[in-house]
Amino acid sequence: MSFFTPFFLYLLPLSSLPIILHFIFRFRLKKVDFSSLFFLVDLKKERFNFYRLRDILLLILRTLFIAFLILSLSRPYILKKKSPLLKILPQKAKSILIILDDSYSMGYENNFEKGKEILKEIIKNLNKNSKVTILLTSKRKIVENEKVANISESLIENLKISYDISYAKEILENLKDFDGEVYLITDLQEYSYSFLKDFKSNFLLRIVDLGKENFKNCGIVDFRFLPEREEKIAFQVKLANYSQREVETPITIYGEDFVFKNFLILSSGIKEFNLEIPKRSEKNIITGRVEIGEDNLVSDNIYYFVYEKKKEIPLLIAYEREEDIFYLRKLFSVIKNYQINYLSLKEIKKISFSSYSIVFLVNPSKIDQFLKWQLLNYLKKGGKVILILGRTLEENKFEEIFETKETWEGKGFLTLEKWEKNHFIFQDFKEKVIKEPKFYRVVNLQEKNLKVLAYFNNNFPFLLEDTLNNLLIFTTNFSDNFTDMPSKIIFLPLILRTLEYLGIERKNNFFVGETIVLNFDLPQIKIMTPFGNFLKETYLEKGTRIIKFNETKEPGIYQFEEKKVSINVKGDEGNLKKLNLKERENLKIIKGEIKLEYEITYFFLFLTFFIFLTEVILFLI
Amino acid sequence: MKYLLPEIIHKIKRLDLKAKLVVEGFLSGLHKSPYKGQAIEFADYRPYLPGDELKRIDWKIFAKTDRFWVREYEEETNLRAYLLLDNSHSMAYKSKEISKFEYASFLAACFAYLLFKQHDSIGIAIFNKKDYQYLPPQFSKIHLSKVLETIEKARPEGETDILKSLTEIGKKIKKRGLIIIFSDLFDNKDNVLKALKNLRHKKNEVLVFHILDPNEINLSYNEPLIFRDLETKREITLDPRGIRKEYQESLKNLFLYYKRECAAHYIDYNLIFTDMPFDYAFFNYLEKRSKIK
Repeated sequence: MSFFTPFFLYLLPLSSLPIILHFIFRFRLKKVDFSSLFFLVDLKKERFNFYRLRDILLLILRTLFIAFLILSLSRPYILKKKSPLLKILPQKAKSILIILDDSYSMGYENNFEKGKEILKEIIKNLNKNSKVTILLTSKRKIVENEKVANISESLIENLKISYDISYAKEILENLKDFDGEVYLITDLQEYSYSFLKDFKSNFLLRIVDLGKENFKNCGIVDFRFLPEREEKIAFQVKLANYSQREVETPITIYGEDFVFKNFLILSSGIKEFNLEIPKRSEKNIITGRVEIGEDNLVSDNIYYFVYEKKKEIPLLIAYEREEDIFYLRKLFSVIKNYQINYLSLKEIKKISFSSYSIVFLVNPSKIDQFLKWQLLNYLKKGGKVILILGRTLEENKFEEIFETKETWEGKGFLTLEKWEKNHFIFQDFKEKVIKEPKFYRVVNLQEKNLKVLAYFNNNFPFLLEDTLNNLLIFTTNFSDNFTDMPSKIIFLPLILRTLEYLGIERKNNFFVGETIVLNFDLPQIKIMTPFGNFLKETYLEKGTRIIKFNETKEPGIYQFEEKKVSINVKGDEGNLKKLNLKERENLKIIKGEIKLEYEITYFFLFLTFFIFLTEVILFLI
Repeated sequence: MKYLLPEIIHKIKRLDLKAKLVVEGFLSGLHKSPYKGQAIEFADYRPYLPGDELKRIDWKIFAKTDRFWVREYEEETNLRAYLLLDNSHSMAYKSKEISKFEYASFLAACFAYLLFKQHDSIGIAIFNKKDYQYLPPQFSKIHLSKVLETIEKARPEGETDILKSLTEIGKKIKKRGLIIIFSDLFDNKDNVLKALKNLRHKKNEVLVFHILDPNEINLSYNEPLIFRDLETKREITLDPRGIRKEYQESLKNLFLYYKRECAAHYIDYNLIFTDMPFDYAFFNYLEKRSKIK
């Protein structure tokens, strides 16, 4: 027997209360004066034992009453021993891969626990010589090619749900050569499994569907700070009500020195709410969380945040020709967080770069000794430089880093072909978006101490970075003669990512498992989890100042030395909408709800009532 | 005096007490008497004084002493009433405000006063196993005060031995009269009856007020308890719920026994509970007595 709400079981010791009270009062019998025991003495022995027996019976009934009441509150259920799954399991020894969805949406109505039971049942009923691999959709490998007998039940029992999304697509796509059977135990969410409708493989894929057609869930889908107002922190929360009915939910904002509570009515769908809270603290960084009312899926009901007062970041854009910076001017006119100084290359020779966080050097015709000296000095002190090239340099004193060779132009256009998909700058960009811009004129570089992050389709590099992660070089200028990129979707996010990567645009809020890229001047970093534990010290690679950390497993506030970041679940995972019937028609789904557990709360409630009734009757005798 | 509450005295004044039996002694007023003329109780002799009736001169003494002596008589009374009040410790039991002893004392005081109003002489005996306090019957206001004072001073103490106590008191009662007993009769039932019969045997009219607390029959306790005997201090642990029915049955049988045996011996037996309004119990009894011709 298991329980849906096992925390009530902590109350179970209360059922011993009648016994404790009985023993307390048993040894503290009241003494009463009576006129004469003359008539009592002879009767003492008669029927006394019956009442004693009745008292003991009442004591047992009272104990059972409390125990059953607590058990009823804990919502007990028993597991069904046989399921339709047994009929389809292979009788012969085979290679079996079982993928258990451990994305946080599986927390809905205990689906993950059910999944574990199914997993155990599959293993138990497989041919003993079958070799089993168990994977979780969060990419955790539990066992690999193990014989059934070697897989212990406790290994599965101890599995815990993740706060991540499902990476089933990635896992299944990498299984092209697998020649066994695959069992995917999942809630078959549209959000993570829509790829299945077109999924083709050489292996047999069976899906054990635990999803619900009707579900109720509300969650925080997105959160962002709005422009700061005087003495107020404003933010926008995007809340989703995935059920069909209107839901009233409390929303509470907890900060370091404040708590604000409100009630919201959420109609079906996603809705944005602008909220603001007075800023009491003078701190520039405030951590907190937003919470909505608890429901059947709690993981998406909390959003942690780190608020950092925005400071205007000083940027220097150095150029030779006005038309080269036309689109950069436009872009930075949209983004308000920067204090930008536009200066010509001649003018920059008279100033120091040290007062700027970043220097854009746009399409210079030459890098002379003085400019080189200026730039190297600036880079040494931790400055960041983005060099945008558009032509072969007439003079290049940076020859130890790169050399410009020929320029490609006038033969149609180039597109981006190869890029480092896992690099922070390109992460999450869709291929289509990256390939969209056309390039008419690019400079070919001979890199020396640089790493190429992206190539054109003619193998010319597009974006390069130095080993210290302080210098980025684009091999084409962002103007009409060079590319149509400024008119494409990618332009603004690419520039912002670049700034973020260089540590100029500081990001404070991340998702579970997301790579956190932070810039430090320290050789080793201490990372503290939301539970106050220190992860083992992370050492930065020699010569690098960037830490890339992707081991956040649980939501909360993590601290990297002085820097705080918030980690949250991806809100979309909370949408439990399943693949529709049409999308499911070609899949081998074990049909019908596999109800492994039978809730026996009503049985216990009946027992509680029955005991109560018996107790009343017995008491009245 | 607390026992003579004005409202009670007021009510008693309006009722007549008619004695059931005509006892020896002088009877006048409302009482019926088998004798014609005066009933005179000799008390003492005194020298003759001018104005004394000649018929009161004792001629035999004159013959012996050659002097005139006049017979003195006690004040004329209708009835000799003996109030026998049990003050054993069991009478101290109370489940509410009033104990059995207090209740019995109220009743005894009322009777004393009522009898006094009827020009009856009143005697009192307050008894327990160990000893008793006895005031022989007299009719005077001072005596009434003494009786009431005796009642008021009495406190429940000692054990019960009805047979012994009543036998000893019975020896003191030289002449027939009305004996009114106030007791919880917590003693061996045969001994109690033997004692009552002894009193009745001397041609006394015997009235028994068997006074009990309602809880003594209801036994309304709902948990196991340690019961301590008020008289013997003996303790027993028992669960009243388990014996209640049998206990009540045995008490009812006892009451029936007393009622039946008392009736057989012309003893008036009255069971009274302390939750009954005091005046209600008292007047009920008087009304019942008043019907006896």
